[in-house]
Amino acid sequence: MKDLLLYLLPIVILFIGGFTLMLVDAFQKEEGGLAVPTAMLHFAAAAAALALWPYAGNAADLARAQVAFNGWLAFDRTTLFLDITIALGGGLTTLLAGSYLAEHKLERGEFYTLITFASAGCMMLAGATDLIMLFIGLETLSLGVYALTGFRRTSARSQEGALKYFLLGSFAAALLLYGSALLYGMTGHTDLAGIRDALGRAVEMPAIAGQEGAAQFVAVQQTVRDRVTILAMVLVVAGLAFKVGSVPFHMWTPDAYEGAPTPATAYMAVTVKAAAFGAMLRVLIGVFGDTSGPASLAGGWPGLLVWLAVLSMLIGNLVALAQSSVKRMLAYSSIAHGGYILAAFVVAPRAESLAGGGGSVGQSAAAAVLFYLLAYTVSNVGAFGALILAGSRGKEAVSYEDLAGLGKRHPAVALALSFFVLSLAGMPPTVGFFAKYNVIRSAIEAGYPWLALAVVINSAIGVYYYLRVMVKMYMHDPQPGAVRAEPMSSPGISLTLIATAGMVLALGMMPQRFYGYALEAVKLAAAPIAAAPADAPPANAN
Amino acid sequence: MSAVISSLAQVTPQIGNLVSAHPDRYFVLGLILISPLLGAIINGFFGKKIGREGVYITAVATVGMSFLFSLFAYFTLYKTAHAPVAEGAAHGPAQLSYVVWDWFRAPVGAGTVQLKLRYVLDELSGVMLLVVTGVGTLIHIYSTGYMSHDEGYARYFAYLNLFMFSMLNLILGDSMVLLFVGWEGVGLCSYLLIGFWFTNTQYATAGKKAFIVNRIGDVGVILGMTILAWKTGGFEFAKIRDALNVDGSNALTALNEKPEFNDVVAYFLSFGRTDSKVFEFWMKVIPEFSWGGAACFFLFVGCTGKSAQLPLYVWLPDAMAGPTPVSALIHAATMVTAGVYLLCRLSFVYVHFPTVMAIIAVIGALTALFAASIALVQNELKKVLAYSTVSQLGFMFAACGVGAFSAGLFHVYTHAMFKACLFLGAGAVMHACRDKQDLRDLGGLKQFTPHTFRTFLIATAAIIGTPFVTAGFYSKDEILFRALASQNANHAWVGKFVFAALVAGATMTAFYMCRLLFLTFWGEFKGWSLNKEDYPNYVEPSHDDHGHGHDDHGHGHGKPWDPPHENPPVMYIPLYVLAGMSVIAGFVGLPYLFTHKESVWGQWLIRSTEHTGKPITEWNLVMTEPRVHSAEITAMAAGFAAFAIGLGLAWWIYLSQKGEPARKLSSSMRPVYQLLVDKWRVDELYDFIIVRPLRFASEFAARVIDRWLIDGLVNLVGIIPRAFGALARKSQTGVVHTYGAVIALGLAGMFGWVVFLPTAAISARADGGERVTVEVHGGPNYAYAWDIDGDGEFPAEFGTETRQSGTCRKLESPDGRNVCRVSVRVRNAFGHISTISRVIELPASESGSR
Repeated sequence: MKDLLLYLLPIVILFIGGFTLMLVDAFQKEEGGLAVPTAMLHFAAAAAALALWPYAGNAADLARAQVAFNGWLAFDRTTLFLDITIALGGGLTTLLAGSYLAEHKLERGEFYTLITFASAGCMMLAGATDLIMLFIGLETLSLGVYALTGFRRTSARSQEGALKYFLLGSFAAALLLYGSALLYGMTGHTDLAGIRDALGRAVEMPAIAGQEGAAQFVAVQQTVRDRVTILAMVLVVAGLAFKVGSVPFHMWTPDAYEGAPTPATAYMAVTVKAAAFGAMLRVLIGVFGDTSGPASLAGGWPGLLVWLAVLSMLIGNLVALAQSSVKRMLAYSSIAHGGYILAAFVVAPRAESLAGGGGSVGQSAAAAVLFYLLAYTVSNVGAFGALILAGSRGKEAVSYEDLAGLGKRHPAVALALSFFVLSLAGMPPTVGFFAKYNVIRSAIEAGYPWLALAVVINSAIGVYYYLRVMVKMYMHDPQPGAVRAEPMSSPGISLTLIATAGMVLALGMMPQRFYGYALEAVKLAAAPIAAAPADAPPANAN
Repeated sequence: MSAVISSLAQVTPQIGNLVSAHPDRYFVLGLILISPLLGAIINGFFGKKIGREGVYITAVATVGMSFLFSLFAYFTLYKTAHAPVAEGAAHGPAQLSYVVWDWFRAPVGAGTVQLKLRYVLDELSGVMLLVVTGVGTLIHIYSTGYMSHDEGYARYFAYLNLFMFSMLNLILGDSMVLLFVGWEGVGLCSYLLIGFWFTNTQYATAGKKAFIVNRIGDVGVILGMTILAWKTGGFEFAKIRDALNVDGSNALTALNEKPEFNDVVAYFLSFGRTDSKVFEFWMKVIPEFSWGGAACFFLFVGCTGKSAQLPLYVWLPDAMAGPTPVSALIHAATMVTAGVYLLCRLSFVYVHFPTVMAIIAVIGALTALFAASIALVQNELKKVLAYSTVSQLGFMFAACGVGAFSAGLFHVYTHAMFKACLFLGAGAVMHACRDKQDLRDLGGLKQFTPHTFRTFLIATAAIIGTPFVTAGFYSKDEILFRALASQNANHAWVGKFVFAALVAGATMTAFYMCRLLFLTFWGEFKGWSLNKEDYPNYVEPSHDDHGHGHDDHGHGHGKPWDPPHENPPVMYIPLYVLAGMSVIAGFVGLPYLFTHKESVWGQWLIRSTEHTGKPITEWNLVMTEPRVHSAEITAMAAGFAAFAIGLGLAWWIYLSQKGEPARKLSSSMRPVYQLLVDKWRVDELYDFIIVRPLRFASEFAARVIDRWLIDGLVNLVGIIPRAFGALARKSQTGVVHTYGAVIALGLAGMFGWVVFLPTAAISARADGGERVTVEVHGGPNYAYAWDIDGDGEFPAEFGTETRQSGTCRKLESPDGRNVCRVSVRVRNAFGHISTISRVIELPASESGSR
């Protein structure tokens, strides 16, 4: 493409749109009415990303873009795939918010501005190939999301969740920043490709070459550099694991999810997660997952991630079992879903290994991550949307008890909720099935049968609490005198749900096609990261 | 019929050319499929909005369109099959297909299989397609009359359309996966329609029973499907077929392998008593089962569920709880024949396994006999027909079991016509008589419902095999003949046994069907008084407002003295069509004896179902005139005798003697009669040996395991958030500290992991012989010491090479495989060391020691 700035289009649309929304909000007399424009902004960003897709298939163009943007942002198809996922999630949740905020008398214009800027931050995070850019993106989205969490100003719970999220988020951001600083100190680079290339070279000290004891001194320097690098990587992983809500960095999730207004919860669960996982994909697999180079941390960090993955699945699912609130259950289950995605991360760096079938397995695992994110976005937005639709002001659907007998009272709402819950549980022919199927398949192909087994067992546990929603709705009657959820009437949410259900089905019926797009996305991802060809690493790295 | 087909095919050549130009893009198949789905969606979601008329039109039009498209597709196929080919060129397979899209990839065995959402129309699916859409359309039309007073009409037609869609998936799907999707879909619709009047607990229970019994069969289908795909490397029928048709086919070798755990199975089946006779027996029987045999057997188990064969037939008689058109469509004409279709579809696999074929033939024959014996004494119209269906399905399976797949399918086709006619006729009788269906209350309907009577008579004539003029005669004759002529390679007695059992079954069929006919339509009507003179207020019922009822709901109106009335034309016109088909359908399968050439039917299906040179169809090779003639004459004579004896007996007992001999016989042979009335008490037996233990186990699970174990676990887990909840109540800030502490702890754990526990991903490759290559991936500044030969000693020096080749030492693995163990010591950047090792399987062939 000639005009490289056009690559920025998705992000620019959101930023300019966000400012415009602020102005409109400031000058319009009555609150409200901003939901549809905001959603349209998101969809326009998605369309822009879609339009850029053909232009991101060319390695030469990508390299030029890489140079033009100083290696800060990558404009490959991975970014575009994530951009589309983010914009879709953001747009759909905004549509949900439009009706939700009006119904619950929360309509204030800044919600839409915040969500738009947060989405822009998400896109920056997803495309970042530089640690500074990554941090800016992360903070842009985080600040927006903190405010969204505390949006119900009158609710103590909302304030509490927001504050906790903010405090712990700062902690995690500090960890990430500290890790980045150490990496910079050790390599002199903040861009990921530079870091990788620097780590691929042995430490050299021409200034003292030939002097007595120089060799030992260099060896010590080498050891120090590698040790610090490894610890810095752990810090970066921890910072990102916080954002995706992985155990043991998950503690904020239930409080924040429960406190936030439900559309904001949906936003956090899908969009923020997609962006953070995208960043992880780039950092862990793109840079430190290169198993051929001596800089590879591939041996070390999958072992680390296995723990995160298995613990996330297990704790997320078990705690979700014990919940009496559906919203909280969805929060914990999102931790478990994060675990499934992390399982694919474990597999991905096996790309070049002897057992892995020459790169295709690693790529199929990375594609499984992208596909899962898209699948989870549509399913989860649907589930939260149906939950929103099932309640009205003063009669919200929050706990299982609220939903009792909904199947008889409001079959259409119950049907919608059941459908999305089944997709989350992984029932064919919904997309949830194929999302898990891809993870399991790549785990088996890469020679991690026990990890596949862990995913299967945990999915089975998950089915239990997902089906409980349906059991409550269809087989239980409400307690006499108890508060029952009364569905609101909202054409906007209904339309959103129909569109989402269509996507869930379409993805589930044609998984190959969308998985193919994901695969295309990751196939072209490796190229732009290596901005400058690395020097041949010396054989005696010690 | 063939003449009709060919003349029509000549009319449409241009269009045919146009459409069949792209073999994989024959979109008419897509239209056939999507049409009923559209109907289901419209009726399911907007049924209430478009009203009764709208629902009727939608349902009938969509299925009718599907039928028209099917006809068109079939003629195109026919034309393709009979297209002139170049001199000396072999005729290619007649096949039209439509790829909707790539579906997904699945790992199978060593490789990966790309599954497509692909539908195929070939000879086999072609005839099934016509049967399903044709009968389906007629029954949809009939249903508009039958359900005209039911509140749930929209739901009913939505289910019925959905059923058509699922059934078409089952028939047209080109892979076992797609077939299974349809298989489950029809099962679901069957369940929904059996329990259609779910407010009646008994009906709902019948639906549940059908569902559960079918699940047992489905396990078989999944197992069989998986084994077959694993051993042949594909899910697509065409792929499996091609893999098997190669000379010295690897797939066939793989299928003929014996599982290594045969003796383990024998051990369990004899309850661990290896010195017992039981164990010896199993050890003798089980080795006959190769992987392929097991796959075929498991698939057949699935068929016994779906197609109601012994021992899983129990759901079908209960399934008559559904509306009668449903019984006609799903539980007589189409869905229950899916098992036969599956066997025909995979006939090229089955012919390799004579023992499994023998099992199928014997089960089929026994079912035919067994169900017919129950039907002899049942008193409910639909019950008799239900057992008759089970029995006729037994005929079809027996035919498949003796290798006469085309004959089995021929019977599927003729049976669909006359059995649908009989069921719809029964529905018409019930509709006319206010849901009375007890034979003891009926009688004399000849005069009240003339249309129903005529069609019922013709269909009965067909099912009892009235010689030379009905379809049932030709299809049954073909089965008997092929059974008699067959020679199972492993069990030569099977053919004769099946023949004898089927002749006996045919005799009983003739008897009970005539009994049904005579008791319903002859004699005096006993339902309620019919004397118009007794009722001064008697009003001739008009066709507009007379009482329509159905199986469950009584008539809301209508006078008690109203006589049974004939039904509206929408109900009897389909009956006439089906009755007509019951007669003419047979002429496509005229026996060899008459024409001295292969019948039109046999010729059409020869590629799909005849596999000469395989053990089970060996007779085909030795088919010589005198032998064939003698067998055919014997078979025809036996069939004729069965017809004559059954009809004569029924005539004598129920027409001449007004049922007196039957009463005498039943009282003099009380125990036998009672046993038959109680359906051999199979339900009670199942209740005792399966249902009760299961119920006990599930109660145990619910009371003990669920309440104590699961709930305990859940409660235990619940303590975690509750503990935090408790903290939260005490102090707001304390919690964040706790959260922060957990993060810090987690971080410390991660540091500990990377510092103290060096890990590396290890992968290995066998290079042939005992050479192996091992590769590890650690991190920066990692070093490795190798022990390839497995002697447990590592070099003192660590190196940075991440790949090492060497000769390893073979180990004796308990299951006889060649394996060896390689180990690597890993030292990480922090100087900590750990050892990782991996067991590698060596190729068996090159070492030569196996």
